[in-house]
Amino acid sequence: MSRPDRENLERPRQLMMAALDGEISGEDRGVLDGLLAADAALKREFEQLQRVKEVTSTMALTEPPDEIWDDYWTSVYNKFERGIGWFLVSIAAVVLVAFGLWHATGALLAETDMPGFVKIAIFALFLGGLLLLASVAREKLFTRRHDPYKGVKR
Amino acid sequence: MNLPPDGPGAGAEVPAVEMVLAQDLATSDRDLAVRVRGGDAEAFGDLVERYKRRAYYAALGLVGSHEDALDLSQEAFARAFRARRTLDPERPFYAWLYQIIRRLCFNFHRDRRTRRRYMEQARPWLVAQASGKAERSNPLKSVVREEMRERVREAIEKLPEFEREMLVLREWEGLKYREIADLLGIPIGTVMSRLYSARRRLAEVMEEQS
Repeated sequence: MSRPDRENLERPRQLMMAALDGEISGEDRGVLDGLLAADAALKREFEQLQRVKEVTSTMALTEPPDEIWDDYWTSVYNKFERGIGWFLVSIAAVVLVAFGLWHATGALLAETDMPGFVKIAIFALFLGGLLLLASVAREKLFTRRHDPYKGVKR
Repeated sequence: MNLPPDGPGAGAEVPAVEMVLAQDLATSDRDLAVRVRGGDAEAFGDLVERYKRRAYYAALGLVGSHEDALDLSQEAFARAFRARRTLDPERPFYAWLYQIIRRLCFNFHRDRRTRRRYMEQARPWLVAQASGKAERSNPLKSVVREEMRERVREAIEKLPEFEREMLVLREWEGLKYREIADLLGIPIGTVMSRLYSARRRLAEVMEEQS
């Protein structure tokens, strides 16, 4: 569809919305009335949209119980505090686990009685774990964020 | 508090108290934001008190369940405080907060596991306002209306996120097109187009019903 065609379609739609929401100027109201008088299909569509507006105008967001406001700030503060707590715990856990693995692997590989294939398996396990970790981290931090199709629903 | 030179009540034509309150509110938001940037939790608490209801209703409109709206709006405030150094005191605080709320809510929806939970446990988040006199005097009309509202409510829950958001901001938060455009950083034309698409889908549902 060419740009002028799109604009020709968009204009009446925007005017109908502005009319329904009481945001139409006197001049635009005249333009809309002219369009509605000239196009029966558009007039019918406008009437349908008016009915939608009528129904949605009779609805309201549910009021929550009053008590939720009393502890609201405390909950926000707790979330903030726990966020910091989890962050520190996660960092510490990653560092300690990495340190432990490094030393454990070093100690196992230095073991002279251990068969060679077990040493290779331990090395492969360690390397594979690192690769998986790096892959997941890359997907979480970069690929998913820049995926142009992430909003597409199957 | 910043009082006008002549103090409140001076000048019969201007509602002085309202003017002072409005000035105070506008000044305070900026002042609080400056203090929040410096890590002042008490100042942030004041901003939470001021915007908690709005944040909750914004989240409710986007996720449709009370518990999740409460949790996500609180999480948004917690993240806002964590990201306080990016807060610009010269810009409206709520617009900045709203961006955090909507990002959280959209991510919440994208997580298929939470979406399923949401679909299963969601309580009616949109309710009928007090019915009019004509409806009360005609029970049949009232029932038909209620059925229609139920269908529309279901259809609203199935709307694409951006369209549903627009409908909520316009219909139930009562924002003007300009305010919505400023809040989301999009042209007014886009606001109207998304509203049109949302209402068009609802109109189709209502046509089927009738």
